[in-house]
Amino acid sequence: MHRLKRGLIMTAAAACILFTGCGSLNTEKDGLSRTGLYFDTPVTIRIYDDNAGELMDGCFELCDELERVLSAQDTSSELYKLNHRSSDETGVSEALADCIAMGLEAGDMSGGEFDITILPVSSLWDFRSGEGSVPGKDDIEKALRHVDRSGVYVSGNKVSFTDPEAELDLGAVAKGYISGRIREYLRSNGCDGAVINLGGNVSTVGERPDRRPFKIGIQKPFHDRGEVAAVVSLREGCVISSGTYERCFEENGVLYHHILSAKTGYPADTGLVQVTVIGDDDMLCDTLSTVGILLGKDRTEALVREKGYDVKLVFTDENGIMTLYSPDGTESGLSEGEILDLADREPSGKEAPDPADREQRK
Amino acid sequence: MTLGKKRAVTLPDILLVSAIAISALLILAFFYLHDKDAVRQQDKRLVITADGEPAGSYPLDEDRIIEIGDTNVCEIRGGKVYMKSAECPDQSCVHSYPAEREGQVIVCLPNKVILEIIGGDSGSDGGLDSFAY
Repeated sequence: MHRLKRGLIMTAAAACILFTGCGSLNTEKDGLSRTGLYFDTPVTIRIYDDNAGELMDGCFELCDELERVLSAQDTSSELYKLNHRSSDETGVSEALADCIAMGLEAGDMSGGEFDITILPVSSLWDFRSGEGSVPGKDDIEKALRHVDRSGVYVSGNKVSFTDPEAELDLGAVAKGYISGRIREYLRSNGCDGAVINLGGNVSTVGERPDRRPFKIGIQKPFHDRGEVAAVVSLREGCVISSGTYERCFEENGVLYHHILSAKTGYPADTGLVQVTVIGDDDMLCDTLSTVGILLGKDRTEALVREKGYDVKLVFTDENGIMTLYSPDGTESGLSEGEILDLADREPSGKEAPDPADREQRK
Repeated sequence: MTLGKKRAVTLPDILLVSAIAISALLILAFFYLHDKDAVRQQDKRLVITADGEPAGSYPLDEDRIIEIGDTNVCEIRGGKVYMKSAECPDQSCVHSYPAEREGQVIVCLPNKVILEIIGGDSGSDGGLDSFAY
């Protein structure tokens, strides 16, 4: 009887070892990958962890939850309801309040070139269908009258407006907010490693199973999706690009793209076709990449210097020339296909604007 | 103390251990072959999703043309996946770089079609972990 028991224990142990080995074969070493469509954009998440399945479900549940808050298309989202409000002051979720606060902050940092109340103007333009045309001048001017972030206030979880027709466009901050929340979720659940691609915004958690840095390609502007301009090698962090080659159309030989100046209501024209921001705070990097296109290279560099943001920037001009800007104030050229090795970059916690600052706007 | 009592492992023990070990191996083999996340390099596949529903899975080592609903046509050629045509005005998926490595994705947003490569090791062949655009 003892022998039988021992035999059973031995085999049970052997089976356990085999199954654990099997589990780690699946998701610890090879990773688990899933793609879904959220926020009108593809979201691909790859997780390296024994517990990848559960973590993955958690990530996509978070996407579901945030889509109900931040979706610009869904007429039942909290953002949509806020834009079609019936009173001047509305209680909002923390997620929405955080995004609006960052959007207002971005307006300040860009000296008004960027404005989250641009929606009446941006909805005149159709950059998505590929069949867009330039809106009438009068329509743009009329819509511009409702673009004024100084009439939007966030206090705690309350948002108020002075202009009843003001509408918010969170396009420049929402994706960064969402990927930041996904990273936060993965980190707090002890995820070993993950790569998140949220409509082209890439952020990473932990490390690859082989401990080598992650390699993130940067799109070559105006070439097929997937053609590489340069490669960033980094550990935990984010790589976020904005470009005039995304969501754009051509009319009479002129390119019209989705990054609109809040001052003119027309696409920014600062000589840049792409700005890539590499840092640790997803929402800040996302915002800076848009602000970068709006401000141009010199003003963006000055802004980063002045604020002390610990980010690296890659600017690409109309001739495809890439310039790397580092927080120490140095500029250097980046050649096509070059690997930008940031594996030794020390993640910094100080770069993110203090959430308390974002809220003290009333 | 007899010889029989001294023998810790008897024939029935060995048989039992072997039987359980073999069934464990069979179960492992089952998971190994059927779990899409455990598919190895030689079993690279294209997995198609249309409007959130699975719409087929094809090995990458056989060339073929696949119609996806009435809207999209993709092609597997020489181990690479192309979106050949799409009924949508923006055509960005058709202008995507072909997908060939694990984790690479081509998406047709208007028609909610996702082409995804699974199987193989994503980074060991010098591939990218992800792509910023």
